[in-house]
Amino acid sequence: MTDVAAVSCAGLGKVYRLGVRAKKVRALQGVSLTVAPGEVFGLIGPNGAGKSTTIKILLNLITATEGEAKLFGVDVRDRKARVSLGYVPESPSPYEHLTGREYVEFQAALAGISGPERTKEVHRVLERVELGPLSRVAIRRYSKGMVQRVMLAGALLGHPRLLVLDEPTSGLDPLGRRLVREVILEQRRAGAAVLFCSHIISDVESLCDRVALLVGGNIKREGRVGELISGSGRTHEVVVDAAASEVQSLVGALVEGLEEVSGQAMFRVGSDGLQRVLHALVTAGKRVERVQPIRFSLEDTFLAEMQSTASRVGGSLE
Amino acid sequence: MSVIGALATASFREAFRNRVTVVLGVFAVVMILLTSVVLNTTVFTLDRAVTDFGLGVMSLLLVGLTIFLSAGLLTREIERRTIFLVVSRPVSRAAFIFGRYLGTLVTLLLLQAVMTGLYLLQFALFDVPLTQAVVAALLGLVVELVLLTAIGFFFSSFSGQLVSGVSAVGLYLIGHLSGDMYLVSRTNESPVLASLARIGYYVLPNLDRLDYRVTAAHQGTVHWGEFAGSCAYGLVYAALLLLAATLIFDRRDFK
Repeated sequence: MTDVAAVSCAGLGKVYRLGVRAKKVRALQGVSLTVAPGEVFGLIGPNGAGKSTTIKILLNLITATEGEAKLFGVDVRDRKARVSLGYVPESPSPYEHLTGREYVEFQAALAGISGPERTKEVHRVLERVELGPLSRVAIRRYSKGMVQRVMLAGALLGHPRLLVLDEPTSGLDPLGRRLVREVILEQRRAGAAVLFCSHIISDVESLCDRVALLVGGNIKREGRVGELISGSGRTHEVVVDAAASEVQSLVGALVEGLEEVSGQAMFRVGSDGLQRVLHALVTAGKRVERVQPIRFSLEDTFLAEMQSTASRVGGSLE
Repeated sequence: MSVIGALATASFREAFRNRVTVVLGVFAVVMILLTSVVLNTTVFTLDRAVTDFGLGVMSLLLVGLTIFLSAGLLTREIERRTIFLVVSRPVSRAAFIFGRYLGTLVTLLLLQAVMTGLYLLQFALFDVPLTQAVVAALLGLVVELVLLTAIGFFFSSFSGQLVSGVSAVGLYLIGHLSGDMYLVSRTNESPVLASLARIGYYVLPNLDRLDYRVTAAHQGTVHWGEFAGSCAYGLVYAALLLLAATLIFDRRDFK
């Protein structure tokens, strides 16, 4: 069973019908991805990119109009596919009349955990999310962070082999964010797969093994975080003991962001032009003070991809 | 506890922690006790006043509460996204509907049991004889609630709260006019209207069959064979509506 992908989608598409005139919006097109056990997979993209639609198809909350989706090799429309699944939705709203403990007990019953095992599991997950005696208070009195903790506790019941988290750190304080990050890393160590969808790209960058960038219902980029960042092209920051005007006349066409700071010229140059620029400056007798590679973040990659696709938000009308 | 048991318990807790239910419960008690006041002003006999007023108040409150709890329940679940946390578990949508239905029904029947207890207490206080027709009226109300809850769930499976509520109230009123509809189908001169009335009579739920309040008030005779047939009709109709609600809900996208 360990060889079977936790999540596998092939050519997934979703078209929504709008109103009585049956206008159609294509929210997802040809999305294919796999998440292996023990892997943290991040889905990033602007609002309306199709992240939540993808997750909802995987959870059988909506039906795909094309393609197929499986959890552990079982079609998502079969309830057996969700036997070992924990889910934390975006902006969760559990039954507010229940206390935190009652909610987790309710979730345990739905997950098929019964008898003394249920009591033990409920205690374990409530301890893990550090809810303590507050678990006996009605959820309607909880803060957003406490609701998120209860959600996380419910998702951790029964040691799930797949954890699906939709914007789990959004709106949380630093303590709450740290808890979510710790849980994700614990699950990975335990061999569970984590599908993680977020707008907070720094979280995705630090937690995910692989990332897919969704724009307009299509996957634009997919790969390991390191690959996506290095694929953006490496740039270097160079500081030369010379006036900016002198550098401009020598290598102005090859550099970007040239400025003069405390009598020294500072500029950026790409990997392709670095050797030519340094050679020209040294040959002209200028002293190169510093050459420092600039590390691109996933956010830079994200923004660059958004610019190249004209930042289209939402699905496309058909 | 099974999945259906867990869902039913959650529904039950929700209804009883909902202040509207509490308010209605208190209101019911007050209204039933107010029968004593009515007794001093009515021109009818004591037996009829106690029987009729108590059954009327009980029916009105329970029907109102049934429509409030059932119509729009499924839509509320989708709008609040609470359903996401249930169907993302290995729970079928049919089990979800059945569990929620069962919980709502248990809530209503428990309320009816409490009201019936108070009602029968009045019978004892005023020394009113408990007739077979009163028993039939109380049991008929049980089946009516079973059917009305299914009607609420059916509308809720594909429409919003307001539409579900209005449709359920409309169907309740039409269901109690079945006798008149039959009369129109037999006597109206317009063939179109007569056909429509005939279709309506056979297709729409005939709640009139389950209403034994008038018989109880007049201390009439109950034909138990006919009563059993009416109850079976109501239960089968409710089962069919639940099945339809499940089929519709199973195909619904939760956006």
